[in-house]
Amino acid sequence: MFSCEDVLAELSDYLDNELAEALRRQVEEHMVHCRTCRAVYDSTRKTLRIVTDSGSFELSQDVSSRVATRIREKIRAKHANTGGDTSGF
Amino acid sequence: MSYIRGASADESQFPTLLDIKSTFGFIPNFFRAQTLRPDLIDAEAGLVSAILVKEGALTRRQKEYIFLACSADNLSTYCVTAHCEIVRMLGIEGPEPEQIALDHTASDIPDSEKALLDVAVKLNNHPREVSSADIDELRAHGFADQHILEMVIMVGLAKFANFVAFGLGTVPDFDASNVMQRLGLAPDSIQSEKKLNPLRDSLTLIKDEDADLVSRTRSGDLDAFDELVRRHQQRIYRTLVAIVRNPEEAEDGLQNVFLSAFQHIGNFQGNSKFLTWLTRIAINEGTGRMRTRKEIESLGETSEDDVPFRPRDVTAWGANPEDVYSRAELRQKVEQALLTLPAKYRIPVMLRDLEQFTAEQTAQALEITVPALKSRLLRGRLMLREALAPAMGRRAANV
Repeated sequence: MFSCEDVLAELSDYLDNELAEALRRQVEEHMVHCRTCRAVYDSTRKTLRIVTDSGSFELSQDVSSRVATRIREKIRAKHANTGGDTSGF
Repeated sequence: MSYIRGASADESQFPTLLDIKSTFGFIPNFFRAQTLRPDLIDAEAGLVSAILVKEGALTRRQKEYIFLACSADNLSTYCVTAHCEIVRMLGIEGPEPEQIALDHTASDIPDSEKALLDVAVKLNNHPREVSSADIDELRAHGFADQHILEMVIMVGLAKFANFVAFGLGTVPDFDASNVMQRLGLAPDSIQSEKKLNPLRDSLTLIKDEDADLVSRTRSGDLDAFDELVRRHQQRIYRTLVAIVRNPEEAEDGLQNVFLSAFQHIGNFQGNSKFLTWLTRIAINEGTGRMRTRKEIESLGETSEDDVPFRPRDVTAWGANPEDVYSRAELRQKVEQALLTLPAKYRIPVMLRDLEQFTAEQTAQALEITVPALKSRLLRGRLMLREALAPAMGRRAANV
């Protein structure tokens, strides 16, 4: 029988669906009767979902264009100086 | 789910159904099929509580075994599957419950319990053949009259439940995966997709969608490199923010990363994806900046990797965060929470869960093994959950 510690150790892989069938069953059997593990699992699952969907730390369009332009200009200037040899930077 | 349709009434009106739901996480078909008469469900719940649940002379294990052995002889698939799961849910020690149902005489239980089940099954199958000799046999095994009384009543309860299940045609619904699904707790579909196509990750590892642009850049096609910048600057920016925790500094670093990649693109061997290689450069850029700021957080192995992280706030999150907060509010909370994590957990979580790198790509970019990555990811995810919990937990919630 899986303990709460066992479930916690497998939680990440369970969330990523990377547990072997037998382990997955044990985790689920434990969670069916353990409210605490179920609460931890469910809230971790919701955490990952909001992290993935949050679009956090988005680069604004302005910054994105500005940086791209700067990089573009720099590599073209260097490229002209080195005659097209990228290894000579 | 059964031959007759239950009432569509709101279950929140019936305390017994709510109790049943909180015990199992769902309302089993056995009870759902009887919702036309909630008063009968109340009475049955009382019966089950008095006979099976309430402590008496027999142990719960002995009572469950009687229920299983009789239900199996009555060929009640519903009651056998339900109580096999219940035995597991209760953590009852002993052989697999299916073994008891299949053939208790061959299972690894004490002789006295075998004798108890023998008489129970005899009463179940051939009630008129039970005699005082059977009862004396039980006494010889140390059972007192109260044990015997409870055994007889348990056989009656099993018959009752089996016949109700047969008569109502209840479809078995006890299976751990099924229960998790009914609780709405199965892993999210995006993650489940991997399970359906286990080859996907390995295939995408081999195929690098940037290969053509990399090759053209090497041949001097600067427009191809512009496209690589356009394609990856958001992800590289996030990697840098994950490390330096400062948007302006990440913006500065972004330019350096791409210039460095352009300069060294001849060294890119194609052993990993281009993006993984680029991310590695970003990690070096970010950690270099941390060092300059003398803000050195250990990214290497530390002893705390071996100590399991224990969640402190285990309050259930009742509602979906998306229903409580706007997208902008959630983003702000996620950003704040992410930045509270130590770098060695923050970076893996951001690469894996925000940028959606595979575990292999994340481990490669961090130059650590996949098991080491997984251990950090587990801790990081739990820490992040803990950081978000005060805003999300609701004490009244019931998962």
